[in-house]
Amino acid sequence: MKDLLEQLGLCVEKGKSDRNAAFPPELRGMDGASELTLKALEAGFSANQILNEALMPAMQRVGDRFAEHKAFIPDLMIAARAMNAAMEHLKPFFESGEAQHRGKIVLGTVEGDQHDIGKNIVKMVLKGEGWDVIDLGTNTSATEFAEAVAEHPGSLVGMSALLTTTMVKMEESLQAIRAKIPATKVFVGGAPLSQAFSDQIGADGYFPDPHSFALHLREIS
Amino acid sequence: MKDIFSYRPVFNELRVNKENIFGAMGYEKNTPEQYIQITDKLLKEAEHAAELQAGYRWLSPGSAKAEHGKLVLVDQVFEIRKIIYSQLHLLDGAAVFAVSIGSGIDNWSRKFFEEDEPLAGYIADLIGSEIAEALADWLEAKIAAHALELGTKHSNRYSPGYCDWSVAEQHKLFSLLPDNFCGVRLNNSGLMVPQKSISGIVGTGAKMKWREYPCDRCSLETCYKQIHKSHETAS
Ligand code: B1M
Repeated sequence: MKDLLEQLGLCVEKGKSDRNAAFPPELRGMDGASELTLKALEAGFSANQILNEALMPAMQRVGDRFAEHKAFIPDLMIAARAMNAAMEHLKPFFESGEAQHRGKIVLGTVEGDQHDIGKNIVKMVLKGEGWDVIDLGTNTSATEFAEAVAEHPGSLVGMSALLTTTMVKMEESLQAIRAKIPATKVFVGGAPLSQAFSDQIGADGYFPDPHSFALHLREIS
Repeated sequence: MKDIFSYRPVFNELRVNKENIFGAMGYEKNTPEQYIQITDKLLKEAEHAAELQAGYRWLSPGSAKAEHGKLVLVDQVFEIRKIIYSQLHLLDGAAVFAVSIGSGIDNWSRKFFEEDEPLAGYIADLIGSEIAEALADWLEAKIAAHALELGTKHSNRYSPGYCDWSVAEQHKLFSLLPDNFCGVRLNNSGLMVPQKSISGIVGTGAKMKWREYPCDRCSLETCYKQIHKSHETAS
């Protein structure tokens, strides 16, 4: 029985989302994360057990390799995709309250900026981590951020930007968010950003990549 | 005299370097087979999604000068700061350029994300960035040929946002080019639309020299040229 969870973890780690996935070659033709999750549920494992004993440790292993520069963004992405394929089957348990989401996070690229690839990668990694992500897209105004936070009480916020000329919009957005709900934690990321900039505008932290961000969120949630 | 030159090169004229794409993923070597296969497949398709446009305005001797740390092109004064000034202070002309691969690749990449193929979406985006760089190289070669034809010399290319030159100066740069030049528009924040576009200048003049970027004199840690350099030193 334990083998089932181990195999599921391996599939997530290697990014094998389902049986049809051609990679990695050593798992070709075998069940992937989607099928194995169904089998684990049928075998009587609870959603929380599957999450905590197979899926999360697998993501942790990929994350550790990423932190050691032995894995890179594509590896994080395929693992997160496999994780999301597994989570699809666990959704009903989250909805019924039997298992818990980590919480809600509002994500968006700031006003004047259309760069969405970085934000999209962060989104899929966080979804894989069990966060309920509210994606506001690109060119998100301060008002849109503030309204989203009001609509989703208790949510955290992640803002992304590509250029120094667009990242300045983060301060305005942060103030609008805090004016609505003062205790909201707001994090920032994107190519030209730094921790110094985050401190300067009063944000709660800068993260250079989705993994370090996800780790921090794990710590505070 | 004609001073605006614009082109629509065909894809095969560009030198798209696959290794740069793997490098952008993080792999300096030993790229996993899976990523190589997807990249190869998408590279073949990218040709149809890219809409290549490139061009420049040629500023002849007398319409460009550098003094007191600033660059003056026609009626615009640029705060190019020390690093670029040191490379361009002997210019007497310039080529102000823009290149764009259109929004086809961005849309294509976005579609992959929507269809739950995020890895393909990410790699398509990287391919788009590499094509844009290759297009800028292509245009730089055109500018070099133009300079040679007129018996003058040229510098490396420099872009707002690099080497301590503020991106905010994009507005001045675009004021020297016709509206919607090569299909590129600037928004209020100085962001070019389509995304996969590059702007900049090349200095020209008898005393100009093409030199490598002087990264050792810049402190921008997040600059990818610096990151590549530190990897090279480490390995
Ligand atoms: C808390 O929430 C969070 C947490 C983490 C978060 C987060 C939110 N958001 C992002 N993250 C993080 O996680 C994501 C996944 O790992 C990451 O997201 P990213 O979006 O950063 O990463 C993407 C997945 C991949 N990365 C990228 O797409 C950007 C990579 C770099 C090398 C880069 C590229 C590829 C390009 N560019 Co250029 N480009 C650079 C970049 C240098 C760098 N070090 O990153 C940067 C952003 N570019 C820069 C510049 C200046 C420019 N570029 C330009 C053009 C280009 C290309 C076309 C060649 C190409 C594509 C750009 C595009 N928008 O698609 C121009 C602008 C384009 C425009 N549309 O206006 C131009 C203005 C140059 C010019 N004058 O032509 C610099 C900005 C500096 C500044 N002062 O603002 C730059 C930092 C380069 C540098 N100097 O090192 C993390 O940042």
